[in-house]
Amino acid sequence: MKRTWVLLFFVAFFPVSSIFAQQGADIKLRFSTQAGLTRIVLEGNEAIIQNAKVATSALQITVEFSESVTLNPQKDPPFSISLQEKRLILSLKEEGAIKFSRLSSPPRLVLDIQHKEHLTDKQPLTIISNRYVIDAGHGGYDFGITSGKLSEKELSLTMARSLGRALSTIKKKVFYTRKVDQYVPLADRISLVNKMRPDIFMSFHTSGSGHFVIYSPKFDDQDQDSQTIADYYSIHSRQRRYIGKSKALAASIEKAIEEEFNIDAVRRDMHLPVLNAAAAPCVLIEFPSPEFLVYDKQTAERINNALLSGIAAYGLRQIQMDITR
Amino acid sequence: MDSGKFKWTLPGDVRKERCVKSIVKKPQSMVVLAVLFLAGVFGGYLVFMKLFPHEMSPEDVDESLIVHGDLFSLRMYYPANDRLLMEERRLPRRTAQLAIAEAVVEEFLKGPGDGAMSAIPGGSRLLGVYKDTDRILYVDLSDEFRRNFQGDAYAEFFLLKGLYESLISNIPDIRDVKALIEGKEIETLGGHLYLFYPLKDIVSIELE
Repeated sequence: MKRTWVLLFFVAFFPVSSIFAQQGADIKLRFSTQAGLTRIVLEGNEAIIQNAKVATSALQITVEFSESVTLNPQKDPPFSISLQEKRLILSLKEEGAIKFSRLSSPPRLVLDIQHKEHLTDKQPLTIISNRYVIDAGHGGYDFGITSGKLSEKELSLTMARSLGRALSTIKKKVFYTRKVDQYVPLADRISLVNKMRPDIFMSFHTSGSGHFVIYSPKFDDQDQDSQTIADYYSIHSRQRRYIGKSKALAASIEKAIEEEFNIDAVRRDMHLPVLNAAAAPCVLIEFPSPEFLVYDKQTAERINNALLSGIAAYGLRQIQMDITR
Repeated sequence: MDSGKFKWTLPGDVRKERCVKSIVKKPQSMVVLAVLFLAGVFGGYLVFMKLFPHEMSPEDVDESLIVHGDLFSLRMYYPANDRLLMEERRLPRRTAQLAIAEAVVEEFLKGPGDGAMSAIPGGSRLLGVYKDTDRILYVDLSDEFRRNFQGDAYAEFFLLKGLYESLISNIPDIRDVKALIEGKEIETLGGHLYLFYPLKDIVSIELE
């Protein structure tokens, strides 16, 4: 009799326990299609949406969640869905330009796919500034922030070269503080900037967070009157003439990044030596940590687009200001 | 014999003998004498301290430290994202300034308590603390402090600010702090800020 009860207990509870064992966080998948734009929305709890990594290619979107998920998809999607524990793969039937953003209340990941035949030809950007110095932060024995196999020194160099190539193709003069994996002292980077006299100086780094962080140079008001140690060491002196232009450049790039990625970028004013000692309009940009953003070809392209748009907007604003003077 | 009372009319030796006997026999008298003796010692100590107030150099004794018996308190500032977190640490009492500075740096390198996430580079060790005639305190740290630093410009700023504030708030006699790595000056800790120069001007600027 006892044996029968034990058997019954297992028969009754085994399926229930196995269901619980398999169940992960719930993700709802919705989509809509309109005028060549497909919008896919993945809705779940805040932690899982914030920590999800998204990688895109022309025909595929891969979303890597931090834990196993259970998917509740809307019926008849115009793309195929494959879920392997933490990894969700959406395979598209036709190529498109993919943008993604994270939204809150409720937490969701929004993927917009603009299909190729509906892509409008963008107006070519008018970029006024001609000379650039691009600084890839860290290098050599200085790895910077390391995230998995990707280090800050590699990422900053890749992004510097990518933007440099884009500027070179439109006949702009580009100088680099480093072109290979080598350590360059801060003082040498500053010397190069001040020797080349660029129209724009940009320094690339990686943030410890999931945000784009844009730094402008900063001076303390009391520095005007007093000779501080920082002044004595020439940290502060050269940027003063360009501070207004540097802030305008940072504002334009911030806006362009926010438009491209549909997220808030962080703006900070800080007395960083490479900015405060540069005799040129300048900005230091920290890209989101690779823990939060997958740096594939498409992401690099989007960052380039944002930076070029920001540079173009800054140039036009400078012309407008010159006219009104 | 009536030992409860002794009369001062008796001749010298006999009087003394009786007096001692009466004290030995009366425990209350022993307590009174002991109290009087201790009061005398304490009074003497107070008079001595008042007469020689500058016997100990202010460089050797930090009066701002809160001393509780054999313990004293340190105010520590630890980096935590975009701010500093203040923590109080109680340690065995020490009075020499350099010994306090060593204690501050060692506590700083241990990171915050309560299991909070530490932004202090792992494996960092204090190699030495020195003070020059300009009252600049040199803190010599092991290479792990540079090598294991993982952070952006803001993280670097708050790490150096935390070290500076922890030292300056516990040792008021110093004017500035300079960090060395393996006994040498290095240009930068994390590739964003200068480390060639003393920290005060680098970390005193308020960030928005």
